[in-house]
Amino acid sequence: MALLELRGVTKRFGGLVAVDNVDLDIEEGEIRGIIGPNGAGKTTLFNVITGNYPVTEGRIKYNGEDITGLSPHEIASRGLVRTFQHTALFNEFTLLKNVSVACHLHAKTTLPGVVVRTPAAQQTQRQAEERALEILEFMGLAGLKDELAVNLPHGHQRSLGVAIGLAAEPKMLLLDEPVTGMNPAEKQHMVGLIRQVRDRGITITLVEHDMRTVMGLCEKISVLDFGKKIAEGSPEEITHNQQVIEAYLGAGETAT
Amino acid sequence: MRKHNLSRPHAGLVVLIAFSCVVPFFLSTYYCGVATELLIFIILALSFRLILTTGGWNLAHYVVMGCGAYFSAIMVRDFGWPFWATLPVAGLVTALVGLVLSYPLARMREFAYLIGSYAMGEAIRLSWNRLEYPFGGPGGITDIPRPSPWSIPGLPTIDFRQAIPYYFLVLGVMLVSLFIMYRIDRSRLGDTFKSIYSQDVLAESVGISIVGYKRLAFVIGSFFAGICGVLLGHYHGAIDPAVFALGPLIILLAWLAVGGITTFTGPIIGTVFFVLLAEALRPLGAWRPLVYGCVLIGVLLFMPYGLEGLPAMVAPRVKRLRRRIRRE
Repeated sequence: MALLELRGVTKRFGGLVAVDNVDLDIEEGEIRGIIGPNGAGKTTLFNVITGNYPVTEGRIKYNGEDITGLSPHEIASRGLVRTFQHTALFNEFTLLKNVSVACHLHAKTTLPGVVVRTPAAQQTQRQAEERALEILEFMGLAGLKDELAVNLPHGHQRSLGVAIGLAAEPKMLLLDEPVTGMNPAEKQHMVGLIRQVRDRGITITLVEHDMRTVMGLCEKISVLDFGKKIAEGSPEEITHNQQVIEAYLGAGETAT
Repeated sequence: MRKHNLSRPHAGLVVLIAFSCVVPFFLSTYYCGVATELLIFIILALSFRLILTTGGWNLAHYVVMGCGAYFSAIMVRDFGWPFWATLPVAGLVTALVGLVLSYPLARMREFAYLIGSYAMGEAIRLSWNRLEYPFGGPGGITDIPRPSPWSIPGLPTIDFRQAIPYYFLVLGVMLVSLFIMYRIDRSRLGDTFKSIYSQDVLAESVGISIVGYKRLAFVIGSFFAGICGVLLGHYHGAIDPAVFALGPLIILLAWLAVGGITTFTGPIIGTVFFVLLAEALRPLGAWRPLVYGCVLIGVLLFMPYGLEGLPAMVAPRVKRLRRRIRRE
């Protein structure tokens, strides 16, 4: 049984069909790439999976449970966590606080606990900070832990976005354009990190424009065009798929 | 480094508390009253900020405070409750009112939140205006008694009808309230609240229930607003619906804008600054509102981060000046 199962998932905005009857199965331990031309509905698909947009039609099953219609925080609490395309960070917080706040699901605190500063509440706080520091170290950001997120350069902001996602201790992580806007060295670094995350037992699904990265990183790729899934297979199969080539180059204009 | 961070505010705090304990003895009854009100407003401003840390500009905050005031006044008048019982109970009842209001409000954002909170506040306030029983209609409730005196054997009786004892009562309540709100502000819970203001969609994506935490902040803020209502009602001895209208709330917003809202001390500084300014400008008579307004606009223009941002703004200039003096 797949970890994430989409059956006939459709998202309409008025007359526009952004995601059109998509079936998708993502197995545990995979690194799956989702590609497609601009406006193919990739990010919308993420938004639908994580409950940010309600599904118009279809069912989404995660870990054997129907999660259709749940709110984003409920979905996150089940271990299905996403990052954002446009760098979304807690700008006013330090890096350490960004990640330690994001440890929320596994470091809950209570009102009496924080007012009285009970040993339990203090320990929760310490554990969250230790965990946050581990994650920052893993992402190569530990040296900047006291810097404000807003002051980070772009590449580091992306890394912090992933660190925030990891803090929620996901079973499955959806990465929305993890390497966009990075220089080659940063891309290389991020690809290595994503592989390591997968090796720690976290299933990865990513949306990305950078073809070289996707082809090098993913074992299996699904292609969306105008909201429909038009192809699925290994990077090798996808690069030779006629429909995919047409989608990217425009129908009828394929090189002869 | 750590020691430095901890010890300086603590020393400052001790001085401040000592100052607030001594100062009423040097004030006339009138100014002691001003100081008492100031302390109440500090609790109110911080309870407003607590809700604001989750992103909600709650225009019903004065009305929520009024709920505490009315509850306490009615319990004392009609049921003979002592002040000491209504103080905590009115806080809890107001928290309950806050809980009810928070259900729709926690789902609103930005402009909808402003209008939604204003509408709910007015719905409650105008009910006080219309219902003669038990709220007394437009005339409100009068003759709200001060707390009964404390007589401790061997010591002189503490009569809360006098200005100084009531001031100390309010000071005590304020210190406890500020302590609790400060602890919340500096905790994981406070950070969770602020993460919602900062990036609500991101907060939700890591499993933080936006609605749940907005509601919690609203309930805690309402509790303290209710406490303020009780203190204010029994201080003035009379309340009516006009006391809790939108006008005074806008003035509270001005205090926050001038003091700043990113730190815990910002609202305190803003409130103290403006209450003292209003008193200092009293001799100007009819010119007072004009000057008051100009000062407000001046602060907003030249100190975009409020008075709380002043040290950070001035520090580099002082450093530069010092360097220049040394060179010459």
